[in-house]
Amino acid sequence: MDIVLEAKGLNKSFGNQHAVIDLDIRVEKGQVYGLLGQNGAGKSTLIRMLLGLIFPDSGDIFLMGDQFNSKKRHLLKNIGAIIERPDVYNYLDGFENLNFFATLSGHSVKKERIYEVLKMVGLLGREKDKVKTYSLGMKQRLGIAIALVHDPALLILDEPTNGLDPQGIADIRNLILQLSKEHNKTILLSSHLLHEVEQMASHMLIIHKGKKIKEGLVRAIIQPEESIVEISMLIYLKIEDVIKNTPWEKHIVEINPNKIVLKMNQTNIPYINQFLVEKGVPITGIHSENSLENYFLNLTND
Amino acid sequence: MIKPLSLELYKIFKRPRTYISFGLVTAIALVIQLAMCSGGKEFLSFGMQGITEQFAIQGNVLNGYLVAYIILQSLLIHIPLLIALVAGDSIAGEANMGTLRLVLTKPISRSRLVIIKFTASIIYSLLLIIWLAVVALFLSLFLFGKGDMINMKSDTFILLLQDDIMWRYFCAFAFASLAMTTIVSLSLLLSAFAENSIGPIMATMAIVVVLTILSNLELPLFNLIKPYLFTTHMIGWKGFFDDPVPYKAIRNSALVLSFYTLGLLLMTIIYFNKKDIKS
Repeated sequence: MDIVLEAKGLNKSFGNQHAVIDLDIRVEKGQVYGLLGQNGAGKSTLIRMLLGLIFPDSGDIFLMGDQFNSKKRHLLKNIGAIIERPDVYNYLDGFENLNFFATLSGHSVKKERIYEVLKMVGLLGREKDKVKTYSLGMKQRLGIAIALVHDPALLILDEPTNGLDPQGIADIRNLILQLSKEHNKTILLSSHLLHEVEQMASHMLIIHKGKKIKEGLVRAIIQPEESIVEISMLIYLKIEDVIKNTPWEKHIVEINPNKIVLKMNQTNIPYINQFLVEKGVPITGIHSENSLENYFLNLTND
Repeated sequence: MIKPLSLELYKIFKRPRTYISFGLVTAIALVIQLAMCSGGKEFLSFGMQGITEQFAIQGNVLNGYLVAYIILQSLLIHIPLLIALVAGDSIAGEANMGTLRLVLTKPISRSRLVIIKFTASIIYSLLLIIWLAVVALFLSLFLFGKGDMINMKSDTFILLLQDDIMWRYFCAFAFASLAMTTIVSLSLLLSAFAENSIGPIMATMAIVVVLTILSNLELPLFNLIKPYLFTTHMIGWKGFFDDPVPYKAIRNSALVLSFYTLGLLLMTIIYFNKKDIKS
């Protein structure tokens, strides 16, 4: 697998504040890689270091196999980015903004490409309007268009859905998935929302207070060994006797006449369901509390 | 270099605030011209009281050359503020708007970006000076006609013949342009430090005002530092209206201003290359 982006041992402090501590990251070609962390976790600092906006105190960054600092200008030609907010020139129109950044991209970008990207992000027809008349969602889409216009291999999107309404979030999410699947872009995106990363990324890195907490396949990370399973039932006073002296007993967290809470692997849910039904327990519902937010909060809990 | 520079100029001239300077210069010139139309003769006879007692002055004394000189005297101290409006905004304004970080993710070196912004600001300054020449000199000549110019000084006066004046104005405007590049460099350096444009614009003005006061105070302590202050040399353009023209002093002033311009530009490039972009 080709490694598109790799950083090793990155450190950055602002005064006494350690923003990023000994952080490694490795993004392979074609991946949608999620960078997850609470606000202030160090995501934006990391992204700014990867783009050369902030200089790391120590550590190395490699892009497409080359050391970033030695070939910065050449390497930036292959990157498209939006950072935090979609800030563009409000007094220019959408087309002028795109044309401006396309010219700075170091590639010869034709007018047709600009219109193609405008169509891709759903701004065709509004390109001659001043950006100050755009909604936040439209600005965000223009930001993505600016990142895309020179057809870069790597997209770095810092909080791409920040401040958007649910429809806007869904639009951006679909666009990112489309870019990954249909245009084979490698995408590094950051978010403080776990479900957002879960829906878009294949791999993720969770950072907290500048440190790496967990890294790997999203599937593997958000399906931890043990989940909290709540089994609701009609009031059944003999439930304790049913469970007692069975292999399920060790999983019990809480037991009530109308609810049992167990800590167990999710794959066991069908078996405990079958066991209880066979014992005549009147089950009304099973709820697996593998909440991503809870899980994330647990990971980042001090 | 040409394409990013043309884009930078496009941005500058797309902003309405850019035209404030042109509007202000026009307004001040027109107000002075109007005042000279209505009460210029009285103003001149008051100012020339000492001269007319000893000399018989004939001809068109209230002419376009003299009015232009009066306008320049009143305006050139304010031009730095108008230059700072654009140069002070060029980096800090983009940092404040959030576009600086996006620009710097493009394959353009920071040194190049500073030089592009510096060049664009200089082009803006030159255009402003040219506009000043149009409204102050050519419009005054149109309104008041030609004539010999009396350059009144504190203890003397210089009479410049009308055929010997135009070249002096061209040289004065060229020198003023050089002085304005120093202001551009200063504003740009302050702009690189700041995250919003108000700070560098105000700081530029504060520095120019304070140093101008120091340049004009006749105290022994300040006399020592005066030759090293750029504000002392910014008024070197007036030398072209002396007779004979003090070329050595003008060359010296031009050298000091050039030294400041390059030094400040170099400092901006060095600082900006090391700056973490957190905006």
